[in-house]
Amino acid sequence: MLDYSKLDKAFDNALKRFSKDSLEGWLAFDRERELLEKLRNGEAVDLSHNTQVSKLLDKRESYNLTLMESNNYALAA
Amino acid sequence: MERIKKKDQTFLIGYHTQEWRAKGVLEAPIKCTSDNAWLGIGYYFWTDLRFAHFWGKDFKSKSTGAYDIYVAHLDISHCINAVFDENGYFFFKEKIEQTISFFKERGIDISLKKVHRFLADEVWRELGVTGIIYDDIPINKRDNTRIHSEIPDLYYNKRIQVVIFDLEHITDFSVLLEEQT
Repeated sequence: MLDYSKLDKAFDNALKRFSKDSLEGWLAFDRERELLEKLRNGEAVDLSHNTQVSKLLDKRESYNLTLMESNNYALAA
Repeated sequence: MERIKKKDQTFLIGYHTQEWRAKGVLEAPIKCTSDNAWLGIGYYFWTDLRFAHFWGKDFKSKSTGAYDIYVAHLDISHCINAVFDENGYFFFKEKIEQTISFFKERGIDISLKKVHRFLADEVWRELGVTGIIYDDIPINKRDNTRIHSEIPDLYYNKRIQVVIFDLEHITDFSVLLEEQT
């Protein structure tokens, strides 16, 4: 049989032992354990990588349409 | 609840349900690490064989269409009994509330999983607590169609589970019923 009055104090002391940092440490351990459990249970890690490609802009390819509003024939071939 | 006396110690008889295996039977129970494990990571047992069958039908026969029920002798002398012991129930309730406040005060999101995993890892073992006896919700299936009462909303039939944190408190584990459907 457990002595709940003794356990009551021991429980309080066990919690008091935890600082914010040590609690964060346990949370990090738990996250890692959970990830390992998922991998063990057959889940897979899907990695994807995106490479940013710079595009060269040639001013000759862009037209300022607002300047052409008054000239209806500017875009005529 | 069934008990067995061996030498000077009394053990609780627990039932453990797992998916039926074509190749042999388990030699030890499987530790439940599921996110929604009711009382944290540990070895789960039903005290009523009927609920072990329901668990098999509803959750443990998806792959093979059948389940096995194992039996074991559980040393519950250092378990928190939150079902039949008044002090145990209030102690458990108070400590869950205390742990929730402990997390909240430190700005940490709480969840059932986080609270129980923390307690099992960092507190219960240190205090010499080897498991918990608790009554589960009175429904079984995911669609809530199996309600354990002939006259709901009075759930007079306690659906009792025991979690044991470590194998050393589980003895005489053996298969009781194989390939059940």
